[in-house]
Amino acid sequence: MGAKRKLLKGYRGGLLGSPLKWLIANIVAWTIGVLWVLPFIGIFMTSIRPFSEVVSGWWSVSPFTPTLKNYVDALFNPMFSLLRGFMNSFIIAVPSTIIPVMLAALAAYAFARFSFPIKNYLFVTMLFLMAAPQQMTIIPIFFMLNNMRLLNTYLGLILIHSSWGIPWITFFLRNYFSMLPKELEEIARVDGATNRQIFFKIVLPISLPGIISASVLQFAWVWNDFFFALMLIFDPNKMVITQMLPRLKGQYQIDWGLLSSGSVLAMIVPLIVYIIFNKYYMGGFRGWAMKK
Amino acid sequence: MIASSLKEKLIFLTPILLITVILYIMIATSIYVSMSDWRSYKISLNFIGLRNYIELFSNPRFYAALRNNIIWIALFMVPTSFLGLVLAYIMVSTGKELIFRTVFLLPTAISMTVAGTLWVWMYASEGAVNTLLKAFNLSFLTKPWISDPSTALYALIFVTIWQYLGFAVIIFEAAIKGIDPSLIEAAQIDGASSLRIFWDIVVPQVRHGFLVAVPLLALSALKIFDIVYVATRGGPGLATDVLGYFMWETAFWSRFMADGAAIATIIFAISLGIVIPYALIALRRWFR
Repeated sequence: MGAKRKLLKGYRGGLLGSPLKWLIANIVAWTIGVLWVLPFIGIFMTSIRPFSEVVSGWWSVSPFTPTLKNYVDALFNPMFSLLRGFMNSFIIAVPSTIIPVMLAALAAYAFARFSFPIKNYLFVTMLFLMAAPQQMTIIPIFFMLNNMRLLNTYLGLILIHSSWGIPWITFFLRNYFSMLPKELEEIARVDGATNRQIFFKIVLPISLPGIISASVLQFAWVWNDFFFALMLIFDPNKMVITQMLPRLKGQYQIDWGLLSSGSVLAMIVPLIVYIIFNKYYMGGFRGWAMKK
Repeated sequence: MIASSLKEKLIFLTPILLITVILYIMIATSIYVSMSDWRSYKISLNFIGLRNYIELFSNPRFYAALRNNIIWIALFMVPTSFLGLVLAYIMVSTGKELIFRTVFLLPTAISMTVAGTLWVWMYASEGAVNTLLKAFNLSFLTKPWISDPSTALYALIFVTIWQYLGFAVIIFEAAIKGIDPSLIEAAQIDGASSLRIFWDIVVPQVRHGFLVAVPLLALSALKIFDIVYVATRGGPGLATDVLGYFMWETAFWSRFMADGAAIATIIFAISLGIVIPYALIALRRWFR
């Protein structure tokens, strides 16, 4: 803490020494900041007003007639009901988060603490898997699920998301576990605890922040995924919300009222998760930058 | 390392072993399919060697897509990491980290499909970008940004910068905070200007941040698909066609499975080219 405060003070003396530099730095950051939230405000303003009011710019506020019509239209759309899409996204994203995080945590602990012959090779092969584009596995996945009668089912998509998540979560949690102090585990072992007991009773509870970070990122990834859903689900009743959104576009003319409320609905869950789990979400990103 | 019985190891490792093997079998299958004559709904796996690749290399669309991917990687990776570093430096220096971090990370939380939709609206003829230009009496600059072939690709690249900037910011913020404060203090005592401190101390000291951000950003740009699908479908013409979209259209629209698998294999080969140097550096650090 002391070092950090010193560091900040050091920067204040450096960058903010001259008021002009301070001003320029602030202008740059605020301009980009405003530009970065503008699309969110724009889509929200469009979604809560009749389209005729926003054609000359959604920031003009006279007249301003708030309405929920666009939301009702999107949620209860006869072809692609976003309410249905919402529920489907949950049905798929929740198990696709819990399953891989649990399995990857086991593997990550083994990588962090056990020694076994092919460990380093296995770890490297996993690392390469993370580089594989989704396109590289989609043809076999498609025909495998087809043979297993799992195409166009929730279970099929959940299985694919889970398998796809395991390598990176293992990698992530392995980094996390190997930074935990070993002393606690060693004391428990002296007291006669088995590895399994140590893992479930000591390691998992103290690494809860890491587990939550991984879960938040995996949940957001699955919720936001488009490619696998597009490939593996065709029934409009089973489609996830990100998949329905582009289909709301309309045949000839884009219905921006519908599309804007649809966008808000499709992003509201990951945004709420982001706001609630802010600390863990950022921790998840930082996890990649850790030195170990 | 901790003593553990074989049974225990198997309990912990079976899932990852299984998944790794399955995913590798799938990758191998794709590579095999790319050398087969499978060009319809019906599975057909007769080996025809590299013929699909040779055909691909004489297809102008392949080069258009590859070119767009390369432009995408360059114009996405460089500004995103540079801007991310500058903003992280400003944030740490001004002490307003929380608010900026929250704002810049906001777009990373949403789906690229939604990001694409948001920006199609921003770029629309009656959208914010054009309306703002008119408001500033710059009507001559207004254009249908994503249906004009000369701007479409850059308009989409900007969306990806918008979406990933927060990621770069947070990586570099962590890296800057890891710098030994005495280095900066020493430079200040020597009378170095803030710009000098930035170039001579901060930039070299955060190379670890670059090591993380650069390959991950490059991979994201290489795998781009969603936004092209949502916003332009590769058009107008081939202006925004990328390998990921080309693969999807070839395999699942035209049902040329073998050709699609060949494109996927090429994407995979390029991503390995990006990841291998990174993996070597990282592994040297871990398994010393």
